[in-house]
Amino acid sequence: MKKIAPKKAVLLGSLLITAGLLAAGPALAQATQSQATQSQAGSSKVVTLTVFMGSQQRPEIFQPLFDKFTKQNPNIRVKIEQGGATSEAQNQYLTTVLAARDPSLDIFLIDVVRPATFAAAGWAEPLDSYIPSKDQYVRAFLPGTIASATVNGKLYALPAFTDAQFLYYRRDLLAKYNASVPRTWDELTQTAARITKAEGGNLQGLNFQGAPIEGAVCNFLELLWSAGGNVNEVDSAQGQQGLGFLVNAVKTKLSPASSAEMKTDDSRQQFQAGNVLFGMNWSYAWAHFQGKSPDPTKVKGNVGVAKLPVFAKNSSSTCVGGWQWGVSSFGRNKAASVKLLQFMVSADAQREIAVKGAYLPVRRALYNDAAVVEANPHFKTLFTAVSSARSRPVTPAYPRVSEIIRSNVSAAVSGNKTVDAALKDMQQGLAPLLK
Amino acid sequence: MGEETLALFLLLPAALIFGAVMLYPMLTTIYNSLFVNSLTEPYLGTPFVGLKHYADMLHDARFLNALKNTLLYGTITVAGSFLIGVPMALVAHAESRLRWLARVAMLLPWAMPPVISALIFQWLFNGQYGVMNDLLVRLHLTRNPVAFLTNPLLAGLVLVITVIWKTSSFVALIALGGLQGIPQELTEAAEVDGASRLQGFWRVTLPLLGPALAVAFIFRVISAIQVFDIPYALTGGGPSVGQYGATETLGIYIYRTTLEFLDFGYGAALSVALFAVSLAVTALYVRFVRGGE
Repeated sequence: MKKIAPKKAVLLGSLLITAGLLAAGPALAQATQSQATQSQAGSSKVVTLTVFMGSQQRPEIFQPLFDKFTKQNPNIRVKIEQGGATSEAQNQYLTTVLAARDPSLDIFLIDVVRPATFAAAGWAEPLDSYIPSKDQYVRAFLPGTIASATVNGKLYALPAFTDAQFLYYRRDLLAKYNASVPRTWDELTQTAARITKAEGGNLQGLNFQGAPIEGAVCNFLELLWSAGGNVNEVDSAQGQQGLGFLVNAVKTKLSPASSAEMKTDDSRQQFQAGNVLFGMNWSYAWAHFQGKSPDPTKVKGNVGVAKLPVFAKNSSSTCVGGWQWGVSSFGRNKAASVKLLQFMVSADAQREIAVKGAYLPVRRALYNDAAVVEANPHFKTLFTAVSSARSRPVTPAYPRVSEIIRSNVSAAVSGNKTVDAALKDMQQGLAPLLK
Repeated sequence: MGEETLALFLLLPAALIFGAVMLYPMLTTIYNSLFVNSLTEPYLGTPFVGLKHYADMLHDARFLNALKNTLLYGTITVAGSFLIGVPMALVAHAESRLRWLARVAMLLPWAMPPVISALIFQWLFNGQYGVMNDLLVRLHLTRNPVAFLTNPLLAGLVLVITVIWKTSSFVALIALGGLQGIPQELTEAAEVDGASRLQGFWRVTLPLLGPALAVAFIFRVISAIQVFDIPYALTGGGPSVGQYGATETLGIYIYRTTLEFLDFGYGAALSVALFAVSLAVTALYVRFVRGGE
């Protein structure tokens, strides 16, 4: 037998290793095109729907509803498949499964920014033909939740629950200094300056997310919108005013020096520790502040929540958050899947997740519902914010859009870029994507 | 059954696995790189475009930035891991009661998953709560905490420190293996001949360590070129300078293009380019070593 020379073995070995990386992702696209055969759920046949969601979205809140649905529809069973702790991890898993046209999933729960991408990729089934008089049907929902799921006039998802960014404030501190909840960013700056000066210590006037994450995209858009601007023209007077406010907040110590590293949950923890006067955050923070949290809370009972301030007399806007139900284009039980989703967005189901899970309902009427308001008294104040919430750009290229916005916002907040340069870079990057 | 037939027979399982999980995806990737396949732009279809993606790459400022970062950080971290790893191996090899301690300390960073290592360093260098900043401020070296991870230059420095910390032990392990294979008689003979310890190291130990270091070097170079996990978890490729990330490596760019932007065609071409870079460096090195024979 011929012996392989050691040097050759080294070369061969290194070839094997380099080849390993090639084995990654791209090969997926070429996976077998096993077109799922469409079989409608017959009345006698029992079908099992597989629903994918992350542990973050608390499957234990949804399981009882799935059980209730099966009770009403004995021939449709529901199985939850869990995966991925973060939105990115879940998306990566779904990308792998769906790029391979795997028919094993019927329904997936996706972040509100994803339906357009899923629609373009052909992964999400348009729901219009399954829902009779759709236009009438969606009128009962909050407009932002439907706008986020609508691509080229077609509905690609149904909202599971909604969310938005709000202004959390310290009720006790405002009372102590006889200050009112700020309606404008200028009022916020003045009130914060007065109170932080008097309180001393480490109290932050305003806490926002400046790390390159979705929170930064939203914080920037909210400032831009409340200056009267829009995402198609970020390099504008409104863009200057919006981003300039955040950058200036750090410069004037209204916001902490580490704002460019601030992630959503850091914001939540700092507010909860009593270090923040005004904080921008999503609805999940509320329960933590009230003591339903692994971390101790110093602000229980002293937290107020309001819609975000504005510049001058513009109208307040916040980002639509939350998650959406999509039906897989490769699933074998699409009609049954849509039936389940219509159950999940029904008033009864939405009431249950609001009461048991403190999820913000997607139907307007529920914000006046006795049971919902009893369980979540603060929902009434949140209604004005969620009902006027706006969606982030609905485009298949959203991952690129998000990256451009968040990295430039973070660079400006950290002081590595001027506001001007950040906005110009942003505009240059966004222009071809949002045309 | 002849010996040769038996050998072929025994090689078969490995060959099959290699073909299925390496060769097939590799060839598919090369094939894919010749087509447009962008899932977010379905209206483009999937036409054959030949080498267009490769031509595009030459004008893709983001690719050039990632390539530059990869080569820059690769060079620094490979050099750094040898400068620290080889002395570490010598300490762990030396006759001493504390040898076991040196060996344990050597294994720890190597055994730690890369993402965990990255997260640990992210906390150490955190702008507000990081231990590093706490030390700097307490020692009055800086007045205010330093924003390590949001400053392009400092973020690069933290990345280099993390990667060297993590990979030095790999070099040390291989070097230690090499050291143990060197017969003691040779160094003793050098001593008898009147060589100083330093001369003994340069003239006897180091040349005999050569083959082991060569193996470590190739593995380090390849892993440095393909680096993804540590920068992805540590800085996410940021902070941004101009249009692109200061620490975005080719591995991160490929991941983003393929799994986030869903551009499988261009992503495949980028992967092939990365493969080509690794191959070129390795081939150069192998030729260089062979030339020395």
